[in-house]
Amino acid sequence: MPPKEEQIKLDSLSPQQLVELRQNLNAEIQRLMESGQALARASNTFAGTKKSVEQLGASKEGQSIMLPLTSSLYVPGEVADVEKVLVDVGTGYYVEMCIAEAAKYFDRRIKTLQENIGIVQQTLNDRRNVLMTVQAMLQEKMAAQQARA
Amino acid sequence: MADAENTRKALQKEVETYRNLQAELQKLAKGKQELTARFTETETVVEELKLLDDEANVFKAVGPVLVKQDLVEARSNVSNRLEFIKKDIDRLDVQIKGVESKMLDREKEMMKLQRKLQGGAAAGP
Repeated sequence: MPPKEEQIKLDSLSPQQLVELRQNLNAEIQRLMESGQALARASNTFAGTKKSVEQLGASKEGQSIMLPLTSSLYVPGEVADVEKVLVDVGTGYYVEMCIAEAAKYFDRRIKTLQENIGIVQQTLNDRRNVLMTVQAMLQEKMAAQQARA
Repeated sequence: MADAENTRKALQKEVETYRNLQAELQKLAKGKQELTARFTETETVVEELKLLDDEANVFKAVGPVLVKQDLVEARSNVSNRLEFIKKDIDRLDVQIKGVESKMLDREKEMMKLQRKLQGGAAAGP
């Protein structure tokens, strides 16, 4: 929404409508913040996985490892292959990649996520600005109403 | 007075229809959200499969097992699915537009009835 149009529209709104608009904006800001956090979490997960893959690449064949059977049960094991990993690329597809390819894959995913986080942040800032304008307009209208009374 | 009663009843019916439409719209919007999420996920898979060497090993999870897939086949499968999802989204968009226009009609009708009701009350005893 271009801010200019917003300005014109805000002038003609009643205080009640402004309050409603403020509520909607607050809800939207809340939603955007949640989405941004979810994206950041996903990005962190990818970064962590990338680190694990690189660690695996740096280790030698036969290196002992604690294998998680569940989140609280581990069994000792040995690394049989330090060159190839199976990567979940989504919708049930798994691709065999070498360590370098896998690392690149995670970099790509992280990059897309960071771009999306940027977009969310931008939208969030826009909405916050609109919210402030609405807030100011509401106060102005209230003051005018009180002055008249 | 009976006239006002009728108007009130008609208005109530309109409100009910409007609420039903609102619920329908919400359901459609939720469905669209899910489809859009699937669409983006499938889109990244298509991109990833495109980037692969032709000799790359690709597996598909079928229940708890991974089954080796032919890469060319996997590519066309995923692209096809992307098309399907896109069509589904388009269909939902049409439905959403339909419900929205119906809601607008009901809104107008409600306003008309409300005005009639208010006018009647002002003119009444």
